[in-house]
Amino acid sequence: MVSDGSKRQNGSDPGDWAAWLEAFSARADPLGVHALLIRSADALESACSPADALRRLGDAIAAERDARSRQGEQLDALLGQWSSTLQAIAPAFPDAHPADLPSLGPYPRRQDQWRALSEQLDAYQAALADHLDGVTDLAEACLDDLRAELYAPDAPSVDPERLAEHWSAIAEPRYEAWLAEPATERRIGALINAWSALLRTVRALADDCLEGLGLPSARGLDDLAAELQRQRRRQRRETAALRAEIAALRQALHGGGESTG
Amino acid sequence: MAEAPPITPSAVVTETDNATLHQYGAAQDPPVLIIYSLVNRPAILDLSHDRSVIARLQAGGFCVYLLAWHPPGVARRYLGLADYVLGDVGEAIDWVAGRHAQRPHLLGVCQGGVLALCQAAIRPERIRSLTTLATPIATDSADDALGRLARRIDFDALVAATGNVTGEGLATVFASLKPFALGPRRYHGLTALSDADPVARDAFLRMERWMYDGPDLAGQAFAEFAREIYQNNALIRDTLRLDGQPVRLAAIDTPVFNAWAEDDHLVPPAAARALGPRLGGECTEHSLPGGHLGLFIGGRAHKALYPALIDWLRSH
Repeated sequence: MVSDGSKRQNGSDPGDWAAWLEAFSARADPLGVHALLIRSADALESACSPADALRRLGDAIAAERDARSRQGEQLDALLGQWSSTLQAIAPAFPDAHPADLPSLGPYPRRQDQWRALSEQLDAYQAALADHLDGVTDLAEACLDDLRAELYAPDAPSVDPERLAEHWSAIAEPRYEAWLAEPATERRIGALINAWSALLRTVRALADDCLEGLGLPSARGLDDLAAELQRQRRRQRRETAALRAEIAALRQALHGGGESTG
Repeated sequence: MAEAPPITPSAVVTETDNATLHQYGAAQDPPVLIIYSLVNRPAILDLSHDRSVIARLQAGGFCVYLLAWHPPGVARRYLGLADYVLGDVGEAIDWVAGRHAQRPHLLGVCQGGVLALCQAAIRPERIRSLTTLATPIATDSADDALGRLARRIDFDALVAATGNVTGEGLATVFASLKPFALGPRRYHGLTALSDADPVARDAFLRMERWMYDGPDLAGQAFAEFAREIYQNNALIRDTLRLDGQPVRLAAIDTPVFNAWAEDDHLVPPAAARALGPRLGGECTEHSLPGGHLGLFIGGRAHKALYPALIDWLRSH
């Protein structure tokens, strides 16, 4: 909302809002290059001699400079107003982490999903960063050792093959020790678990979209797979019972000895 | 990437719900039924003429059966350990027993050893003997890298998000345990390999395909295995149940042959050798130097382990 500062802006005057929006409708030309070209072209078009052209061009540049200066004041006022508006409306919004807020209004399940997505994305990024920090520390330690070896006074001449051998000899035991550390185990576990949670939510959201379009979803396929599995287990149990019955009958029929059925 | 073609000729004899049963050798020989892991493909057991576990057992006078798992599609994401053990493994045992009119020797490889153990614990009377190769039993030792990494992961949440677990993803996890050995050191000699004889090149490429062409795993079975075996140490604590039936190692009273590799970074010796003392019957143990794969394709294994195993199988 553009204001000259002489009156307090409270958003009640439609004219203020119109002016505020008008400020955004100006041509996007932050450096004034386009405006300067237009002014210069106009000035040169009406010039009647080279000297006149240079004078008019100078006037055009001065005019553009004045305009830019006025716009700067306007932008400054706009930003100031914007900042104070945000400060004014902040108390009207909840002062809590979104995760702590209950789902309100319609589509509570969808709200839960989006909130979970946001949290899980954060958790995954944090776990990934943690793991990459661990990998980076390991790589840096290995590189430090390799550098020290290469800069040693008695260092042998280096060719690519020997360098690769040196690198493996330095990095392999360090890597295996690093992999065996409880902290590495914790970081890898956290990364995989965060990824699993995130992927599950993304899949659920994708399934919602697909089902909304009447298309097959992974959830639908899972339902079918689960149903097939129930049928398969039932059939297996029934088959096993029948086989046991047949074996018992054979045993009864043929008496002792090694049963093969 | 095409699956490496097998070396030893076989015939498909039947299908279970989630696997194909291959037969190698003559039906008059005593049967050995191999239960392979759900992770990776069984090609490692038959990767080359001179280092083929299957060919060696066959030459040892056994009719070998291999239960080769089908990679699960999305509709089979809820397959659990009970489906594999009580369904497919049980069905294969019954089929082989019916064909040969005698109980088969059961041989479990790595994770397949756990599946075989579960079957043996629930129905010990159905098998002649049990062999476990590089099978994780106790996963709480300090040098169990997979056990440590698994400790804090919520596997149920993971598979709820992913469905099935991809073979590529698992291969990446395994490679990340030994990135230098499986990265720069493994590929260091590629230039020389291009000039090597075709047999060496073919062997390298077969191994390459095997390592990085693993099948997807059914989400639920993966989560159950990781949670029960690696987080709950359920075989040691006697807490594993399949379809409500307890899996107790002490219930296994059939003879057991348990082998492991001394430098195995996937199934460390402590994880495998915990089996013997907990069994209800006799256990013959065999360990040899080398890593996980050395147990199947290593020269020492083919010189010492498999002849010993064949002798043992013949005596039971």
